Amino acid sequence: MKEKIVIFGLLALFFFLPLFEADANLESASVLLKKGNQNYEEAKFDQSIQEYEKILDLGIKNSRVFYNLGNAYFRQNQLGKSILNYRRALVLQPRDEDAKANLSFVKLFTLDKIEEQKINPFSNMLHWFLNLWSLDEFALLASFFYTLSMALGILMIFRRSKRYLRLVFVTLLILLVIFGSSLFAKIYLESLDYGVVVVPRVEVRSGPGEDFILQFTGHEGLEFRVDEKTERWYRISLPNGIKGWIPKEAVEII
Amino acid sequence: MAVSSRQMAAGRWKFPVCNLRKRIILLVGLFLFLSRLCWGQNVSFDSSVDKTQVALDEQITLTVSVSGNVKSIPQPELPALDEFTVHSAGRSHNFNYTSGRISSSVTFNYVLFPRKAGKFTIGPAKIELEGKTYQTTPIEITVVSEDRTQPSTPPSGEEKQKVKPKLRGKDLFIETVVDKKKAYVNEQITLTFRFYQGVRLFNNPEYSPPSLTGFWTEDLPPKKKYYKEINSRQYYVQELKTALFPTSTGKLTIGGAELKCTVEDIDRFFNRDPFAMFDRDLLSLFRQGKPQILKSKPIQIEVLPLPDIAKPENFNGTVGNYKLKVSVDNTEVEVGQPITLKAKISGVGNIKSVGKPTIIELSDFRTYSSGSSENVSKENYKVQGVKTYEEVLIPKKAGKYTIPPLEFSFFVPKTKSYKTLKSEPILLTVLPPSQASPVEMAQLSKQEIGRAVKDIRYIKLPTSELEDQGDHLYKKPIFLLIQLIPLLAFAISWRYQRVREKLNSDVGYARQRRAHKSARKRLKGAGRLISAERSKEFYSEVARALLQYVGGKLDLPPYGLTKDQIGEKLSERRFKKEKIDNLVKVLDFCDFARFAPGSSTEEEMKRFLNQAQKAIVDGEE
Repeated sequence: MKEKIVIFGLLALFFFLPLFEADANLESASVLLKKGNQNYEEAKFDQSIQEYEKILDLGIKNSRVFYNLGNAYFRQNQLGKSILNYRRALVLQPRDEDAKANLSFVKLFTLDKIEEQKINPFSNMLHWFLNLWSLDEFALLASFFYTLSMALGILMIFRRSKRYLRLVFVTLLILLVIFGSSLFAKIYLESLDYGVVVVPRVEVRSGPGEDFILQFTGHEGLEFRVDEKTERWYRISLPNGIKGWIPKEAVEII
Repeated sequence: MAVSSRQMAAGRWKFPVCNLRKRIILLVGLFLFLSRLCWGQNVSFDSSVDKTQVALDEQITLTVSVSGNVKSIPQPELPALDEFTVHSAGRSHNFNYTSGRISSSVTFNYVLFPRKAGKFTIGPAKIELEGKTYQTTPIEITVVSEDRTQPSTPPSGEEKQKVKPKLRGKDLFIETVVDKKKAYVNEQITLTFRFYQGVRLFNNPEYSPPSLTGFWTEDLPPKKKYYKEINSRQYYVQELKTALFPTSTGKLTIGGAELKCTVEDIDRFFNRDPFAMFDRDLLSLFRQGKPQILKSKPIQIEVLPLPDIAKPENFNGTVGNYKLKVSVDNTEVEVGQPITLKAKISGVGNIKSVGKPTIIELSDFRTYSSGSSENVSKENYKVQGVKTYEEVLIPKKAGKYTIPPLEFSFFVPKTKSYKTLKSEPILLTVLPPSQASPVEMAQLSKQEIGRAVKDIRYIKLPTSELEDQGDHLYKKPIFLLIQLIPLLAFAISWRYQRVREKLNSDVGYARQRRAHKSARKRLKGAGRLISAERSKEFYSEVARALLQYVGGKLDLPPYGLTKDQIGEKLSERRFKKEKIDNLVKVLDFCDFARFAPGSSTEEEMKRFLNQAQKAIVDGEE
């Protein structure tokens, strides 16, 4: 009996230890964030960028940091990096109205105007739903409905054949299925790579090499999906369906 | 065969068609055929004029007739007539019945207008018929410069008593008159054309209006028709008025008007008929038209330019006399709602050429010209009317505005001066919009909405502790582990409930499951009896507990079980041999202790209880 407790305790320690470890990082991160914000207020945007980037170097990802970094890059006229960081902020916090507003504002300054392909209303709705919550929130929601349905299941084991209980149970199961599948959809979507052009001009070619025919010239802030990666080139597709190869150093993956 | 070809020829002559006439043609055709048989080809070709002496402003009718039995008659070749203007007045088919012989003839009519006075000869006209050339005899014509041919004596009473009174004066004539010969540019000149008619006309006259280059013309209905006596002869007068607006300055010429008509010539026919055997109606079948072309004299007009002195700046060439009225349909509107501004110009003058009054652009309004409409009337043969210009104003901002007075200038020919009219200023109240107008919304493009946002939103300042959102929850082992808990809980409860169900439904199973538990309970109770004086009770209690345990396991009544039976049944249930022996040993000792005299020590009893407990634990496994 005692042995079991020891094993469990060790396991728990093993799981929670990283959390305590990160705590030290978080403290220095919040110091950096404050410095960065101060620099921003004093309009020293290049310095604030440095501070914010240091937070990221610590391995900490936070939507607020990404948002502020997006603002700072925009002040430095780096549209590509600005868009990149707003996108990253929105991945972590999809309902961030400020990030959405700033992203659409910054995108007005980009040179490439691409007409997006018409999406059917169903997939539109699906995207809307999937963008309501972040991946973690979906995980929590799915977990919540799973726990709830299990709890109700246990209740039903002991007080069987209650009609309303069964109704609630079925509802919970449906919600569980919805949020469970959404969670997996979200995991899939986040596994897709999206990228932004971060240099003023880049030539997109028909193949992974300088010798291939120039298909079009992209400008800073152009967003795309990455379909394939080689050592030096990415195969990308634009929202209007155009595909091409782009040199790796000209872009950043969101 | 021959008959039909004649008929065809007759058809080609375009004889007026009616049943009676058809029959006559047939008859004539037959006669012609017969006459051809009798006399062969007999062609006569001659020319005649209605008079040999004419005035310069008169006309001569030249008639060239071809008669004979010829299939087709070509147009005769006229001599050169340089001294005359020649108009062809058509051709007609004619036939004569003379001295019992019928001859057909084609008559070509020409109207000649002398160009100058003097004596001229109309040379021979030529025609070629079936290889032969025929010529007419030349005619001498005297053209006098004055109207000497017309007898100027008024008709006397004697003449009136004649059966056919000879009427004096010209039968037909036309004239063109203008109301003024000097006018300003764009001032109305009224041209009047009159047709005097003293005889019956054969058909409707063909009027060709005078050439009016340099004028903007406007017909002035209605046509006036009245009777007028000139030189005591009654004329039927048709009057046609046209308004002319000179468009350029200098000397302009209104060309002569021309009228082509055909006069009935019945009297002539009557006179030629010696028997007067036909009545007039029948004669009208054979009536001949006498073509006539009437001409009027050209008129010279002097067009004066508009004076340069005191010419207003906004003058745009409007001449006449006008009034200006400016109105709006609404003086109180919301932002984005249209106001219609109407400028109404009414008066006498060439209303179609009235220019737009100057409208000052308002910076807080979008203005759209929605066109103009005009209503022209021609009362008293003066061109006049109303012209309305419409302008749509759409206010951009709320507030009070004044539409400045509109100005309109024109030249008044009567006073020979310019006049400028000013409208009253109009006050407008523009209210703020109750809702965004769709027009406004539609005019904002994607770019403009973007521009409405002036800057990015400010950075986020820390309101709560910074957290790392980097590692995804679903990848964290602790999260996944926690997810196991509800499932485990569910599985355990499921299992538990299943066991309980079995306990409730299977008594034997329940006894089995409970055997150990109740045996332990009893042993615990026996433990309380450990004392020297109650040793017998203690042993019997232990024995009972063990027997009950065995009975429960074997689902048999606990009492009356012999030790052999116990050993047998337990080994059937795959209890280990050791354990069975152990159990039997404990039971044996109980029996011995119960019935043996004396009592055992507490120490002994405790040791024994322990042994008994071990026995059932062993039995359980």
